[in-house]
Amino acid sequence: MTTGTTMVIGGGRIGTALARQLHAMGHEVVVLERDATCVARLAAQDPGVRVVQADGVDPSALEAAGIRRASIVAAVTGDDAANVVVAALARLEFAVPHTIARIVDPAHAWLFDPSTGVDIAVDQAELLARAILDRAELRGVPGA
Amino acid sequence: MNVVVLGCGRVGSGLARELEARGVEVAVVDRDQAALDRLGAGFTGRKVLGTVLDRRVLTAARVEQADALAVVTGSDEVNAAIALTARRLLRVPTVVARLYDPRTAEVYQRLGVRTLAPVSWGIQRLADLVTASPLSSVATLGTGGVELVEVRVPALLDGRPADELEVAGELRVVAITHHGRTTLATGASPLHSGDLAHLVVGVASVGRLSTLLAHH
Repeated sequence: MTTGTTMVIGGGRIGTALARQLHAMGHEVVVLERDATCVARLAAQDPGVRVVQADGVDPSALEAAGIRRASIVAAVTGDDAANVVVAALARLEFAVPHTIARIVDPAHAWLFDPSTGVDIAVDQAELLARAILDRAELRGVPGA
Repeated sequence: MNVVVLGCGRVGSGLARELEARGVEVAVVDRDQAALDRLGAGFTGRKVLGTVLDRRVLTAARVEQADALAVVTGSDEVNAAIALTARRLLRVPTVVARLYDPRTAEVYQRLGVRTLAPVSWGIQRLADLVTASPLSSVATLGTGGVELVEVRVPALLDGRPADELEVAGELRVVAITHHGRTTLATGASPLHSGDLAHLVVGVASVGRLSTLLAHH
């Protein structure tokens, strides 16, 4: 992974876990979350992680939070449309080198395309299904 | 020309009917049947029931073959995401999105999407109207230094040429509405009492136009 700030958009369960791991690995990380309650919880749980209350689909908020210095933007909100918009702004407007976006509903996967600025799309349903099958196979569950 | 309208709320349904009235082939998409019913019995365009984030729904509405797309659902995020994807991935030639936040317009313009913030636009327009002088400002051109205004031609200017209302570099009559018909004007075009004269005016010269009208 490259050095430089990683900007995580969305401070829910996934954003929180991602920010915590990045921080533990010694990376500089900033989380943007629009809900004040989530921001407060995140700040209390992980004092080392920088949290900004801001809407990640707002270009000026992204700029104010330092997106021009980010080497990675990870859009992991629970809203697929917002994740696409964040990735598009990050890549096409702010020229962020790496963009990663979370797919909540597999039916929306087609929106996550290099032409809209998404480098890596992570389909959570597919990922979890595969993880379950892998673990079942390791345990020797019949049929897996 | 064929246009797909995504979202059939008040704006979407009204837009679809207006486009149809202009002879445009229209398809409308909404996830709510009751919303599609707003179009009324007179609407002959295609109605597609489904969520606009589903590619199969867009394909059913023939977005890939459309000349233009208007994205007017109630969600800024959905409108922005679909507009960007339609323009950049599906290569729809003209894409217009309704976004409530007007500050983002320039950014989306750079990304190939035209945007309209109707609430903000309406507020600007209302503010213009309530503060306007008897000269009714119709539009602000470019970055705001020039106004398009319309004035009722006073009786004393009846039969006079349009250039009586012109000052080089400050005021110019661009069109005249006479008996309900608007045509481009030259300096020699005759003015008639009660006509609507359409002028472009430098903002600094608005007072001068008022003076000219008062003197006539």
